[in-house]
Amino acid sequence: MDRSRITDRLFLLAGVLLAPVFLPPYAELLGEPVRTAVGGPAKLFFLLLAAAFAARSARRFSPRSPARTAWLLLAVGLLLYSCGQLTLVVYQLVLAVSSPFPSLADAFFIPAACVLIAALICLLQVYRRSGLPFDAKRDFGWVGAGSLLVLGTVVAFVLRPVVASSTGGLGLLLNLAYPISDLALLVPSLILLRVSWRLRGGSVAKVWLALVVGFVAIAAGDVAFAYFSEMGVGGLDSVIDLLFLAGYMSIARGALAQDEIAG
Amino acid sequence: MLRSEVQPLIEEGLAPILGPTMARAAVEAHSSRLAIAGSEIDEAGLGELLTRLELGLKVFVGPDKSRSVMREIWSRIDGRRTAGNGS
Repeated sequence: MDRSRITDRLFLLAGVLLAPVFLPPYAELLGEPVRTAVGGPAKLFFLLLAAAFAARSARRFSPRSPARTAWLLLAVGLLLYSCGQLTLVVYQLVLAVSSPFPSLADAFFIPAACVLIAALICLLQVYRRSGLPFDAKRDFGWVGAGSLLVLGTVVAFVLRPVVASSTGGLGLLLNLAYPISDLALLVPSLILLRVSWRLRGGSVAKVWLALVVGFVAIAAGDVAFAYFSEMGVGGLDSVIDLLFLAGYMSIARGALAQDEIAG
Repeated sequence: MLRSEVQPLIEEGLAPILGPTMARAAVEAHSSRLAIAGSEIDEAGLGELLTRLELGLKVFVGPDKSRSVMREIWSRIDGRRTAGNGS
């Protein structure tokens, strides 16, 4: 069995073992302390794994290659995400308090999203100039404009009641900043998905599919968190946690896949 | 060499990374840009085509892997030439 298949199976096994902690009926049986003790470190582990392999992938490109810059930016973004997650783990497991919102973790998560957006835009530029026959207008232009329109409508729809019901302050600002930065991250992600479709059947497509699925899951988690926390709807924390964990796992798998094909 | 002989060898080398659709599209697009889209490809044209493809591949997998893919393609082409001369 090759390295890629072994890694696939390990990730599947990790998913099967971790999912019950977040899903009914086991989530209720195990309770929040178990979810916090397992979920926080698991998310941190997969983020660090993703950052490490994105950095390793960057080193495989020549020093002046723009692809190296893009993968390095991806690694930095994931490292910043890891710092945010580490802050949450310290709150929950070391200080034994519920992580506050807003908190120091947000000082890492927001810049992380900005760096990841820069990384994806950089990668799109690199691919567009690769000399491979991508249709710039259809693959980049129309997909970008279409996804901006659809996602913008969804985010506006979700955020309207959040703004209306909020008392303002930093919490509202962050609850707007997260979905908006996710929207900005999803647009280049969906363009990359279109690029991946043109590369279907090849190992590069697997990398991008995994990364895009990860970014979509994180965006879904952020939008759900913003909506339900400002609307005062509780009891969905475990599902939101699962979305983040699935997102980080998928991004880690993508980074590992890039290392496999370049190695 | 006949394009019908050499093009499938190039596509087979690129397909595991770029997928069969992009592998074919890349070979055809670069052949067209280099004005070597006819039924025969000479040595210089073939070399230029593979150099262009290597540049595109580098963006996705880095220089080491793209070099090894190109070496594999050249060895398949050489193998076909040898088989052709032998027959």
